[in-house]
Amino acid sequence: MSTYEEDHNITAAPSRTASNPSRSHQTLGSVLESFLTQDQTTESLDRESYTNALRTLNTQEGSTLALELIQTLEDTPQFGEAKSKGVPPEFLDTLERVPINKLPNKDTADCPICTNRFIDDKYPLLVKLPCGVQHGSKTKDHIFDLECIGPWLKVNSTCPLCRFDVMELDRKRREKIEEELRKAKEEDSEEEEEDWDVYG
Amino acid sequence: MSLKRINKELTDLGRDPPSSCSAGPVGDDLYHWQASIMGPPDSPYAGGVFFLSIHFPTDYPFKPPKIAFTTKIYHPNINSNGNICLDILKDQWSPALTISKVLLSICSLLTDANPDDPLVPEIAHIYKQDRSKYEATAKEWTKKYAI
Repeated sequence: MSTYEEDHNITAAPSRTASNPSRSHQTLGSVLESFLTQDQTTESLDRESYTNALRTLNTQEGSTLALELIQTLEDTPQFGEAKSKGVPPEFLDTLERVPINKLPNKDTADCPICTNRFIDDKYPLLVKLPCGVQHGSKTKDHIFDLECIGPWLKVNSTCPLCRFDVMELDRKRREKIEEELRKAKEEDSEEEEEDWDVYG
Repeated sequence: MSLKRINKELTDLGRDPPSSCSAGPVGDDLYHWQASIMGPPDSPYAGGVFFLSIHFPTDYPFKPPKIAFTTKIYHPNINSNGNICLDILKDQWSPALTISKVLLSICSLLTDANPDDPLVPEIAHIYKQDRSKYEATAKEWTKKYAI
């Protein structure tokens, strides 16, 4: 028995097209989940109580070891990041990539963090933060080397140029999408239940 | 990354120096700089030259540089150790800031003190209650320590 592809004299590439939407869906889902789980952890609270305890130890007993421990606590990624509200690592994958040729000023544009011109990099990997987008086309996009913005966003979720919280923007965007999805669903169900008197 | 960026800032400072400040490394250590700020003309620090020490952390620019006055100065947001109370040197630091921009911010802090977030409450109190007394003392200290 011949297959559909053979009948139509085409080569099949269904696996790629089929897996793409599910893959991006999963990424979004995992990011969402990490947001939710991060919100619910008590890690930041724990860290605060540890720090307070150590500070008391330092002021009352004059322990310099306590001071060192506070520093260690602040430098420890799990604790430090929870405190300074960095983005989860998956978030970096969701940032919009920008091809250098798309930049209007690609010969002079530089990364605000390392201050090197993008064009001087043989293989520049640029990302655009979600800030600026909401102000229309007039706003200058905030573009960085992924290599530079990554370490920063992991400890602080604000844009280095405008201090917009990129996680907050992302959350709002996601809420909007969810809202639209819900509306679409409601409309669907309204169509199904025709005798439901919505206007009454 | 940090060393490259510090080097870049040094070149940029040399090429396009800010009008009222200067900065550069002390000796061979690129992570340790010294800076100077001219007292702003419209402030009681006018005529003085104030020196500051700058220490770059190894993860600069992801962490702010440590900057302190080495010249004594009478100011509500600068204490006797020279420590400066300035948000961009702490939680409002951004890796897009440079030494040049930070020095300019310190210059504006000299012109416009922030008595509502003081590091030295006594000076902030005088600043708010008796501005002329604050200005007189600031001028006196400038004359004594910065000229």
